[in-house]
Amino acid sequence: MHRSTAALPVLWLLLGAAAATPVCAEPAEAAATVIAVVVSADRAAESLDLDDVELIFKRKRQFWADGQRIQPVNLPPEHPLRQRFTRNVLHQSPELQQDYWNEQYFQGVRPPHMLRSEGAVVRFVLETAGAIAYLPYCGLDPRLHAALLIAADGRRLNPAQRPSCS
Amino acid sequence: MIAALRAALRVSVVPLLSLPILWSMAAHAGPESVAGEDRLDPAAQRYQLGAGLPLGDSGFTLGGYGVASLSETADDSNWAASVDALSAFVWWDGGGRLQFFAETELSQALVLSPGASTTDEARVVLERFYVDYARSDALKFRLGKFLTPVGHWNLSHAEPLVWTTSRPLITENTFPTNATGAMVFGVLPIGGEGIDYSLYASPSAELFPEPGKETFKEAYGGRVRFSPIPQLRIGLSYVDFELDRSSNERRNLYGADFHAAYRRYELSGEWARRVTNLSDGQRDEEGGYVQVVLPVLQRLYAVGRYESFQDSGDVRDLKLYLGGLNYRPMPALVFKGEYSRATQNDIGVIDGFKASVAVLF
Repeated sequence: MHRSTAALPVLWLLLGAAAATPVCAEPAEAAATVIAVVVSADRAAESLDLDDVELIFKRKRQFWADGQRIQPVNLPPEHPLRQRFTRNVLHQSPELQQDYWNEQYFQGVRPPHMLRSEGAVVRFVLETAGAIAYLPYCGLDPRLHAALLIAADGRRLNPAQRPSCS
Repeated sequence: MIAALRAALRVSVVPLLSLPILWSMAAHAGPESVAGEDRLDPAAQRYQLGAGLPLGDSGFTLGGYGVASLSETADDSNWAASVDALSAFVWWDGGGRLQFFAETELSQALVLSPGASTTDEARVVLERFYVDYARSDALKFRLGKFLTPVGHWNLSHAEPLVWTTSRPLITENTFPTNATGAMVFGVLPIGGEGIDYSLYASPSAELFPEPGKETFKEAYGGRVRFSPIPQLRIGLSYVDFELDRSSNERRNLYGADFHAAYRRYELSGEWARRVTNLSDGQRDEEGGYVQVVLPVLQRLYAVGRYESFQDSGDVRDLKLYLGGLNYRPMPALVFKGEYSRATQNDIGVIDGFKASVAVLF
């Protein structure tokens, strides 16, 4: 009883410290797998959710609200980030994605442009009006605007919860 | 009213369809041009099989597909080989709100049978020819000749996209596969797949109809497709129409289709019922199919299909059983082999062995 009473201030101290820490901080290993959906500077005010991103990268949504064409860009199919994005955000396996684009091609719709490296994606988004892409959250170029953060399992992260990459 | 619409459509279709070509000359250098990104993206300019060939920065893309087949009928073992289709697409997308799409097909370019070969059956068919204007993603307008939005198969019927050489009966003769007129369509942003819808009117005769094929005299219809869960798509179709050959018979077609896919497994099906109102009563045609696709090896798939079909003139339901294999060495190339057998075959459906090779250009 006496020991329990003595431990109380320590417990409160620990709880207080926990409360002071940003509640959304993700462990570093989880932050490394977070996907940032980035948009061009002219689209920094856009509010996007997971459904929007899925529609955009399936080319079912082709226009921003003001009528400008959306310019989505993909990494190569073998890129691990593309594979994770395809599986968890677009809900497609590689085979289903291929079938999907074959069908879209028959309707005159081509898949998003593909760029070979993350560096090329950064340049594309910085230089192209209406652009949207996905990149690893950790190490994200500070000039880019992240419109949405997506956890490894495809969950949307609260914008206030900036994962720690350190 | 209908006559006026028909006349207006005849007058307006051709000039309107030429607009995007003229527009493209001016528009591709505009501020919304994709030229800037193409310079960033050399891959976009490189030809890939099955992805079409973009023509520089013009906004035009060329593509198409081809299919050659071999068949042997179950009853008399007569074989025939043919180049079934060489289809060419051209579409234009200048990065703005207007788009244009055309598909022309050379069908039955060459037919070989025991001791004979002919190109006499070759014909050029205009499959699609339309202009789209997008007010938004949810509200687009189409004018021209398009595929009739009934079921899944008719809208994705290209041989490289489907699992069998033969087409399910209910998708072939129960309704004309093409319509000419106007359409309102789009994607409603509900869920990650959205809800696709289309409403169309075909108040006029078909633009460049294929000889010998049934066409609409007039048609009014709609289709909606949605995904209650990510890997399941459900479609519902309706069309009220008259055929050119029997214009006093009003027909109503109700259809439903589904497509479920998980990894490399697939289950799909369609059902349609066509009700014909005659002066002395009502005559129906009804049918459907269920198709399953199973992976066997890395690039080899087994396909099975069961069909039921009741022609409007028959009492008995035709049953058709099909089993086959698909080999897909690359996404744009497919080799197919299948065997089908029909029972209660009062309408003379050709069954037996079929094989084909199809490529998406």
